[in-house]
Amino acid sequence: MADNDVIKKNKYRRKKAMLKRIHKKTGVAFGVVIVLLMLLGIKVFAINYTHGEEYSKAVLDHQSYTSTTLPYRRGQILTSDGTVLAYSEKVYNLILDVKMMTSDEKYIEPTLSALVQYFDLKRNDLNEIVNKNPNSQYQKLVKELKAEEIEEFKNLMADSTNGANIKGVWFEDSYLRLYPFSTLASDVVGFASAANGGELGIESQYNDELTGTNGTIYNYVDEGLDVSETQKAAVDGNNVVLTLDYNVQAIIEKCIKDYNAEKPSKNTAVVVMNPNNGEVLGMASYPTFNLNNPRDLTGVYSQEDIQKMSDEEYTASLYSLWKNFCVSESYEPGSTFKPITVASALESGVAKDGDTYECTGSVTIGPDRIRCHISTTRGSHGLLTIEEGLMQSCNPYMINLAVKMGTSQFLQYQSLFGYGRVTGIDLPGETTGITYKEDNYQVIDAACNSFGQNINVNMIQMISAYCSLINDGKYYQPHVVKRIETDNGEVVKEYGATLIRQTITTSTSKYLRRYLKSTVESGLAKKAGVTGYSIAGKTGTAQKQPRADKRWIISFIGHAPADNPKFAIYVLIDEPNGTNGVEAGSNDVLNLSHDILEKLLPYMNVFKDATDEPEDTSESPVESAVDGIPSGSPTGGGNNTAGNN
Amino acid sequence: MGKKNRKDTGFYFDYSLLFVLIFIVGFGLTMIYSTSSYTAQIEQGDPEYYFKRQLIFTILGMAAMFFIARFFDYHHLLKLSPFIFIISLIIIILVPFIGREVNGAKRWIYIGPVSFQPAELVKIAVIIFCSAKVCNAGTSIKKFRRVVRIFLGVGVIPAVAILVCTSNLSSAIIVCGIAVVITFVAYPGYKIYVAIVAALSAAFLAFYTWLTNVVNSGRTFKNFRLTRFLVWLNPEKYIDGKGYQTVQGLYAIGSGGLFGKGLGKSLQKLGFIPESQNDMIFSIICEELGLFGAACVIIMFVILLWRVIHISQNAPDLFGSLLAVGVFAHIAIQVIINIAVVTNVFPNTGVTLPFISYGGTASVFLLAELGIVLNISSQIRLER
Repeated sequence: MADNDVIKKNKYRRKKAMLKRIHKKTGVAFGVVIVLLMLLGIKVFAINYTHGEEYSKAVLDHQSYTSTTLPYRRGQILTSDGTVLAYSEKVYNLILDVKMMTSDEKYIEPTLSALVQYFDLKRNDLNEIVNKNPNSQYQKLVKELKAEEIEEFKNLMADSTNGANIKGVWFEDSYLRLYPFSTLASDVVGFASAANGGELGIESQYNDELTGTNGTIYNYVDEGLDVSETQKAAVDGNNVVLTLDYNVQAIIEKCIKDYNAEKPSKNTAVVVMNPNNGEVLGMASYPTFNLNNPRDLTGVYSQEDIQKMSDEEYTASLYSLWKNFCVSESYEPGSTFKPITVASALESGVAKDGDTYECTGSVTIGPDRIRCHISTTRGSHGLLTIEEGLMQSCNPYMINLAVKMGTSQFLQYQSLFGYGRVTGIDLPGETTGITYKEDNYQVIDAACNSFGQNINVNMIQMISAYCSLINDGKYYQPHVVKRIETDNGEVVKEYGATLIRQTITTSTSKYLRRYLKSTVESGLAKKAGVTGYSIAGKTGTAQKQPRADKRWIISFIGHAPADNPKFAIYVLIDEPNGTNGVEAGSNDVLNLSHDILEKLLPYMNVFKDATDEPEDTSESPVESAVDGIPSGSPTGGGNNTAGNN
Repeated sequence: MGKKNRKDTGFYFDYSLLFVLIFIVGFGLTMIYSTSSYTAQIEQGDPEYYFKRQLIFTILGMAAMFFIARFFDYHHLLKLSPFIFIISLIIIILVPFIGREVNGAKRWIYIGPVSFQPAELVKIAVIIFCSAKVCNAGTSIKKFRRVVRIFLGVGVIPAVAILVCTSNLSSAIIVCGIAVVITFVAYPGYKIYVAIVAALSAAFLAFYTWLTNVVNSGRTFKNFRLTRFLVWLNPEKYIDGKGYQTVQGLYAIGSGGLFGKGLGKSLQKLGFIPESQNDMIFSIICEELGLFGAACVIIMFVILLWRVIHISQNAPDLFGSLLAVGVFAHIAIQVIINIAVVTNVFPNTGVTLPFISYGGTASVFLLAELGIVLNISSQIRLER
């Protein structure tokens, strides 16, 4: 027992001693571990201390900070009644990342065959693109796909079984500019291209408003060296609301089209304006072009002619097609200028209502003898009041007024009515027209000016001046844009009625309204009248230069209702069919004006306020062209045609 | 006597160890989610893929740990140790025949859907068997010959088996290291160990000098392992190849600064450090949490190791004490080698950071080892 106890005791002691030793040695092991861990901790610190900056940069360097552009949407162009004339539709470009697709052999076949299956692509073309650009990450395969055209393919890509190996295909957002009415108000609206933005008309004039700001998704490194993704949303362009009225525009374009279908003219142009605020309600010219395909000439020229054209001719044809006749073309207006002459004479006091003058069929000034248009048919007008002078469009009467006013006074009035300088209408490429300068303005020039020859004007100048004549002398700024709105309809800018100046007094304006009304009721513009409506206006038959060519511009300018005008209209036909000779009557333009007015009057809410007189369908006298006008031109005024396009 | 005391004092548990362990495991799960979510989203389509898997293994491991701590008396291991050791050796030898290749190395065995890395089993087997051997040696452990014999039999044989059958150098080193630490603790002297360390240092110095000469002369090796040393000396030169991972890890550490970029904000994990949830997780910790985070991780491991050593020092008997030392050695060696590799103090070799790196088998076995340690702690006799 005792032995056993001793053995047990010894064993226990040995064990105890061993445990004590282990106690100590484990402590040593732990100490070594702590030292090693401390050294490693110091190493971590050392790496940060010696290489911290360098490594931080290295880390940031191999991050790719790709920024993705979010395209803005170009603003719409609308008519005043809210019809959209131009808008941008979201479309998608099909992009192939060749490098990614070829990164694994198993991606190539499914991707290419899916592309061929879903899009109008040829396998051979695709193979060529892939072989030629093995490292390209951006190959535009198809442009401007609609959302519904890519939907199926997107579904396929999202399909985890069938589309799993379709790699390297993505869709880039883009916008396509569309013009739903193609040709409607093409000269005014203009068109825009992806590369250059607005290139014509409102698209060009209001390009800054229509253009938005592209957004971006980009990664950046903030001050804490964190990479953050930020999305800067695109700011869409503003909408431009025109003063044009869709129905007015549609009516005038329809009538112009119908007329030219029958008798093609070089140009036919119509402007409708609200005289009370200078808003252009309609502006159209023939020939038109398709805004969705502005470089297509087939509407105007035959295929053969286009092929025969040289590049310069082709470009010139395009520019002439794109030219907005209503603002960019200057011409001699002819007799539609006579109301200006009459108003100036009345205003200056050289003539008053009721004054008479004897028309003898011609007037001789210096060496030149200027004939009245009546001289070829009935010889002379005889004794005329100033009202009758205008009604019968008597040239000698007008010459008489101009001579009485004198050159410098007449020139002042021309300037007052805005001739010789741009009206400032918000359309690009307006021409100033050409007027004489005082130092070389001769009496013969003034005489010719009095009936609208040897003075170059544009249509906006004419109708703006006319509006002031019938609107108590208030000359409003002509404009085609009513307001600018943001995408969600907030008004950014409003373009209201801007009174530029007073051209004539209220009483003169009143006389003019009466004279012009008489001109339609019983004067030479009778054919333009519409039964039951009081319409006022004046015709014009101008001979183009060179006079020997005997080419004509016939026009009608008028308004309704005659006493309280709601709108003014200016209809012009440049080189009408069948006037290339001695016969040059204003029949065509009066018929066209009549057709337009007939449709326009009810739409414009003009009430029938005249006695129901049957429409003039007889061969009542109309103004015929006057030959033999001195072919002077106001070169002294300098050709101030503003650059077109 | 022991049983009686236990009844008197109630069930004792080293709660400090448990808490620091739970803290480290929780932190590990957070970091796995942070590091792996990006690549998991891309490769697996589920950002929580690795996190979920690791969570399952952690729960399994925790269950095993609590079971062992509460119901499995570690003394049974003394008798079971030879069987555990032999079974582990058999399994490791079977790897070339029934194993499956993952990432170019055949280190895995699949039992149904469950994959399993036999090297981890060998580590725990070596801890148990080595402790048992030393215990059985009794006083003869005072003879260094006996120590060498145990080291060769329990350390080198399984290490060679691992190296040959799975060509996993790092696990072989760890197994040897565990055997060295256990025998060092049991052997009464220091002199021999000091001498060995001195000799190894000298050998290393000679090798290092030779290696730098080779580098300067511009020669290259065909041998895979030797190239690894060249990469170690100048990783940036091999950035496009074998040095890539090391350099990217260094970039991550260096770009962290004092407090890091913030949890989850690492840039290097975005595909630059491959499988950053594995061996290189410490570099991401440095990048996201900075020097401060790295220091905290190291301090957590120090506390954990201190508790394990504390249990070892107070173990009721030699076997328990040695088992705890073995677990201590296992964790300490892996932590040190892992951080050393990440900081390029040590050539690149695949050692995971215990409890933090992603890895199912390793987590389960490490937690089981901690279960043994907790079981030992529950049998500590409180002296008076």
